[in-house]
Amino acid sequence: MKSKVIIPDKFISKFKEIINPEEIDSFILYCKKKLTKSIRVNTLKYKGDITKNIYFEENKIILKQIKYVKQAYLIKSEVSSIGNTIEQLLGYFQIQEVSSMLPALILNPNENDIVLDLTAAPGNKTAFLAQIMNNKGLIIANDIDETRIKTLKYTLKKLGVTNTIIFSKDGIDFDINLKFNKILLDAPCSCEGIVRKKPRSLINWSEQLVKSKSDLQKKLILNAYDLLEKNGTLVYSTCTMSPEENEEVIDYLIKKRPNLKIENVNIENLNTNYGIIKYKLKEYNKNIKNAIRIYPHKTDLEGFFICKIKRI
Amino acid sequence: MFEILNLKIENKLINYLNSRFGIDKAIFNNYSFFKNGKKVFILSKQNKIDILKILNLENLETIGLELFANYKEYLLSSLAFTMFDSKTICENYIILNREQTKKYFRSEKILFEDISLKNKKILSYGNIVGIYNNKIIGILEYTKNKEFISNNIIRNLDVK
Repeated sequence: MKSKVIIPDKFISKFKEIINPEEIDSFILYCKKKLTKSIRVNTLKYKGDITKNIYFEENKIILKQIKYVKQAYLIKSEVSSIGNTIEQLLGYFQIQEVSSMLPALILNPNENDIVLDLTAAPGNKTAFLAQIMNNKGLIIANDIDETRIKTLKYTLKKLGVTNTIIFSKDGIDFDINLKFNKILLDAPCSCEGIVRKKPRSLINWSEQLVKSKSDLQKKLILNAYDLLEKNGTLVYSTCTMSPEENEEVIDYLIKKRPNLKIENVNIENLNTNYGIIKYKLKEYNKNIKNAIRIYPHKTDLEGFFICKIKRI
Repeated sequence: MFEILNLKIENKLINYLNSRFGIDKAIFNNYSFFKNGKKVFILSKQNKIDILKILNLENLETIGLELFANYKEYLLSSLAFTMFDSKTICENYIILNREQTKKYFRSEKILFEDISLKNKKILSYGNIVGIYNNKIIGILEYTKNKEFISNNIIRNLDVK
């Protein structure tokens, strides 16, 4: 049975102050619109054209390749059981939202990099990093949640990842006497952006939740930045849209560690918004404009925020 | 506790994989070997970090991919070398069709007589590699006096 999307009034009121007034109705409409499923082809295990794969051909499932993520496809047909196909169990592809593929692409690690994924579970982004690195270099994947670590282990095993070491430490004070040249911090968040996939995800939404996540994110980003080598790159992302969990976190980092550069993030063919630099009575560092906001109504994706930071 | 696998044991295991499946030994030049109890893991080689420095740290959960569930008994992990091309396997394999592969994931019995002669090359009892559609799907156990094989590790009843 389909669940009805629940969007609390206080959430709508808040986003009236964030979204352009002419767009707010469209924003709410898209938050209620079911998200098109997508897959990422795992080139560590599957080298061919996935559209020619027997499962998709025999079941006449139409896949549409995404221009800005060449490994990703939208599933344009109605499918209910793609998670139980042989191909999925064999790790040829992973069901993953398109927005959540972007942080790894923006970090863009190479085969020699030493990468940290500070809050890695359930592992889709870690696996994509490994894929981009052709299973070379080294990824340290960390997560504090024991249950989610199990999923992380299974995901990496299924997808044939061999360049990753997993730790289960608290990201706030994670330190293994190593510095990294690339770090991904896909921070735990209030998950406002995933309402299209999980219709009831906003039921427990509150400003207190946003504030508590923001406090945690500030601690995490500070530690992540301190683990970077000089000239290293940190990508900070969340699947949420409140400025307190995004721009405010970056602004906090800039105040604490002024010696950094916010690099421009540009994804061709994707209609993103700039990072916000004014919100209510707050003014954030103007360079935060270089970050991107992904809104459902502008992209037909999940809501997301991504910022690329370089240590100088 | 994780530790670097003794080179002598590493060579012994590589020799086993070579003699059992015909896997080219050179493939393993790209990996470092580690052990934790009876389990053996492989990690892509890199030369920037000395892994030894982090092996003894607290909360280290796992390294790379598990190759042997019990190296002393040559018991391979169910998903061992599924990232390799099926052409790396020369012997002790079976080629499954789609229905048989579904059975594999459901942990149902696959009768040997149902696999045609050209689709199996088994020289002895023990670990055998399952192949579907030119890809390695995992490791199965071929036991003496059994007329079937089954995967008893992964189980997914709803596989399509």
